[in-house]
Amino acid sequence: MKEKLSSEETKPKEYIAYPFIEGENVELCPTNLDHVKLYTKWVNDSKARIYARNNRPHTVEDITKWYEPSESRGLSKYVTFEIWHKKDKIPIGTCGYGRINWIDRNANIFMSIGVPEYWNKNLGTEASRLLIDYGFKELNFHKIYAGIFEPNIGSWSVAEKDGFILEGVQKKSIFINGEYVDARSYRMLKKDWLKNHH
Amino acid sequence: MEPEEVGTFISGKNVDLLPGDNLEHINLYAKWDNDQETRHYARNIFPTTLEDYKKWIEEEKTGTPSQLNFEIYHKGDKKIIGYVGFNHINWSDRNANIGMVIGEPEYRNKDLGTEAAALIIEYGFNELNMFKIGCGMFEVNVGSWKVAEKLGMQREMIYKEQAWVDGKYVDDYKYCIFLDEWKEKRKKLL
Amino acid sequence: MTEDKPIVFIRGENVSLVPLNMNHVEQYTAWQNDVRVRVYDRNAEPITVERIKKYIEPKDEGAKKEITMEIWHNKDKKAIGSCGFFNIRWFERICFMGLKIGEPEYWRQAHATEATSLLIDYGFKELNFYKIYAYIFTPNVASWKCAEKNGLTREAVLKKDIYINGKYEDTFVYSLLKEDWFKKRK
Repeated sequence: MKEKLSSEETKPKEYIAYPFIEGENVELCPTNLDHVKLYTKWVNDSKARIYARNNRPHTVEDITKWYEPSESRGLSKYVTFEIWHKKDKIPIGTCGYGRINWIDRNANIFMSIGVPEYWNKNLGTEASRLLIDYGFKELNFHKIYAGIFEPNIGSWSVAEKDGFILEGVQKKSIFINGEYVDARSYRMLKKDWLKNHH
Repeated sequence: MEPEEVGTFISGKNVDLLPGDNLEHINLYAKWDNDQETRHYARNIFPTTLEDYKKWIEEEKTGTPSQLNFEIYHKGDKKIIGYVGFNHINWSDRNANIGMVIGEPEYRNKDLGTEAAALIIEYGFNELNMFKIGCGMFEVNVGSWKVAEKLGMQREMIYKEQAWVDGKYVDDYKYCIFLDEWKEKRKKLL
Repeated sequence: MTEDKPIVFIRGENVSLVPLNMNHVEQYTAWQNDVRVRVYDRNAEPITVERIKKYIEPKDEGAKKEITMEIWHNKDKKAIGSCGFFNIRWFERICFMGLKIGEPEYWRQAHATEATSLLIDYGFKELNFYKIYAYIFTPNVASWKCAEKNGLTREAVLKKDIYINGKYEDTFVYSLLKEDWFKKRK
């Protein structure tokens, strides 16, 4: 006789994340407007926003506008993902590409873990690696670049570990915490990625 | 066209800077931005129509401007020969980028570009309270970076293989000058 | 803008490619509807002036899906046709090209060949395309001769793909890879 299915098995599956790129500990998923309050909190967080250059407050409405589907049918200048922690089943940050130039085939990579408990666990490194592979393998980029402020050592150490090369430093470019700081520019050309990849 | 109609915003020796984004001159802007030689290193890769200019100029702009545009007016010949402006203005960082086009070919290579750029840099530091002014150009655009160097700017960045020009990837240069450096340089230029 | 001074985007010897011009919208509409011109257009519906106006109006879009230009006759100082890229896939850097000479008195004068050459150079040199396709219906001999003169090769045949003049015809798939165009340029 067929065993009766448990109530657990008959419960309709709850879709909370739609993984687009799978990693070991994290997944990159499309942004989810249900989480917009979380995104707003991360963008405004006094510690996290300093090096992310958010020096104006953003409301939930502002952030909703960022992530709403746009009316234009064309390809966007940006691609954004939510970083989803597989085991703990919660979103922990956002990442993606901005300033995408489809003719020069380059873009600015950004990555931010918004939940402090998940810092210093190499999750940022893992998310970046997934994102970089996606950029070269799927989006057909020629160059990925990143701008990181000099005092943000955590961020640029990760970039250098990931294989980014320091292209140069722009002196006194950004006003943070009452003083001018330098801005580092990092680059990764596809040929550099290919060398590291194999 | 007489500048009395719109007013001379900044006066120089051979050129004046007049307010830009003038709806009556969009045919001039369109001519320059589409012309193959003029746009060669200016990063205008798509054809632009008069309707595009109308839309950009008429678009409602809110908040502090991220760009400020001027027309370059040749005093002797009484004609508009190009445009120059600030873009990517960051008011918290007090820095901005310069973009310039001498649209009428007969007026190139006559140091008029250098003069127009000097006027706008002076305006940026002296009136807009800027701290750092920059400008970028492709490595192959030698004319442009020679002007930057004449103005006392320093090359602060080389972005490798940053742009696709003439069928290959070329490097992008970034020049900059700080307020205190300009205070010295301006004595010789203005 | 006076008619004898067009805004030139890409200059050629006999023809040039210029941005679309709202003042020429009646001419464009005439070409789209003229039975001699539209026969190989994959367009069986009448097109109104309003639709063409809407097409020319600037759009708020991300990366463009289409880039269309007018073909301008340098000496006679008039618009004689249009051409451009459409279905642009920026990821793959692959797109389709289309071209029409709208004024029949300008047919058979190699203008289409020259305009195609200017367009292809623009696509590879400035837009960084990787491959350009042209779908040409088999009865449209002038078109595929023009394609072949510009180095495109017939990659495939789509059988009974289009209904023209009461019967089904095949479509030729012509294409050109950047590396082949580059070799040819040398």
